[in-house]
Amino acid sequence: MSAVKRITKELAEFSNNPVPGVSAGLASEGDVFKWNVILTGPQGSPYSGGVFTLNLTLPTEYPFKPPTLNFTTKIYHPNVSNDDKGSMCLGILRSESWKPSCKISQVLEMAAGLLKEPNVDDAVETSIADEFKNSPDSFEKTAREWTRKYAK
Amino acid sequence: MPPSIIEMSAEELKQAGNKFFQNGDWLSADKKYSQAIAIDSTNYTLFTNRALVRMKLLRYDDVIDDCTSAINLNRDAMKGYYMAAQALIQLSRPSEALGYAHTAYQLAVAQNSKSATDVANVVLEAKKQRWRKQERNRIDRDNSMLKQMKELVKRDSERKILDLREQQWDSPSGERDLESEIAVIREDARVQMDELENVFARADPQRYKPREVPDYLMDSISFSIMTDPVVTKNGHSYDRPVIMDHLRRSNTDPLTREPLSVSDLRPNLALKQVCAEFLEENAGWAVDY
Repeated sequence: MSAVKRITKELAEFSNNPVPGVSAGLASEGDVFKWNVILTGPQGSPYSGGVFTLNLTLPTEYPFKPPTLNFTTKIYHPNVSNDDKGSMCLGILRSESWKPSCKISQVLEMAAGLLKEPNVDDAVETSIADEFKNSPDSFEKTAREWTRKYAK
Repeated sequence: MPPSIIEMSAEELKQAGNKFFQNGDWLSADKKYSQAIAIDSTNYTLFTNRALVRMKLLRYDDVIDDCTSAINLNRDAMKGYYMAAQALIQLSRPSEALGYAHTAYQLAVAQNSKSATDVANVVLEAKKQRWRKQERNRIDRDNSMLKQMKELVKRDSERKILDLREQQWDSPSGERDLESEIAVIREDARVQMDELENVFARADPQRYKPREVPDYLMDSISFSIMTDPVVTKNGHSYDRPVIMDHLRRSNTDPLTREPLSVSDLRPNLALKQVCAEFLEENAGWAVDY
């Protein structure tokens, strides 16, 4: 019950004060625990020109437990699991490092920031992270290709 | 009465009542608890259990009776105070409810009860109801004063019109346009009454005050106004039931994730006072803000 109150407030706050490059709203009216999120690929990144959709799911124990973020658009990124789940692995979203005072808008800001600059030290796809570090040209090429193929 | 029932002990009757309760059969549960109480009237949980059933049956006066019995048997019967407060709210007796709710809250915190959040919400609910009652009284009072003053304006204008007609009667003169003079008097009265309404509206502080709870009174986890703020080692304040909920899951500071336990929390008395004063004036809308 208290979760609904907080989420409703966060939604209102987000609508009044949106994060640049991010649009978000409820997936369906009346269920505040599921949000649709759209990230636009930042300029200068291999995701530029792409539009990425994600599902944000809030647990019933929110904000004591962290939300989860899943890409429904395929993306070539060290911090997004390369499977049908497309889980975004952000440090702050792990239950052992989650802080209940962290807001959804901060989570989305972090997600948008990761498109600009992947975090290779906290990677879920270690091979993509290695590629990003050691042969950035080849990483960029694949990331750009995937953006064109899946995110347009 | 079949012999089997006579042989049942109070504890067995209580268990039978609990079973009926779980199945949503309030009436049968109420009967079993009553039979149990007839055998053993010293067990306070029989009274709190029956109070809960009677809450479901909307028998609020009986809920209060059972809660009082439970409290008399056990001064620490948190549920007794808690349900009495809920029943009193249902009966629109917020000031009495508040007394019980405060005690229930103190006991819930002392017993580290998971219900602390719910009990805190009943405290707020009682405050909200009390505020609304006071607000309604105030509006009624203001309205009756406004009505009286408008009545005076009306009577004054009627008297003037009457004088005018009498003058006309005593010394008739065709020159004067009586009807238009009367119209002017009536128009003046109407303007005066509008002005009165405006003055009263401006005097109503609720209309002109922005309805916002300042951030420093809000808990940064629940996003609700605090009622019992406690401060952590790093100086951040949280509402006690909320941070206790968090600490039950993780012994960390909600902001820094440094180790934190209930015994590290200290009441923030000054902030508590500010929250209480704010609620005193704004509970009607601030509780749900």
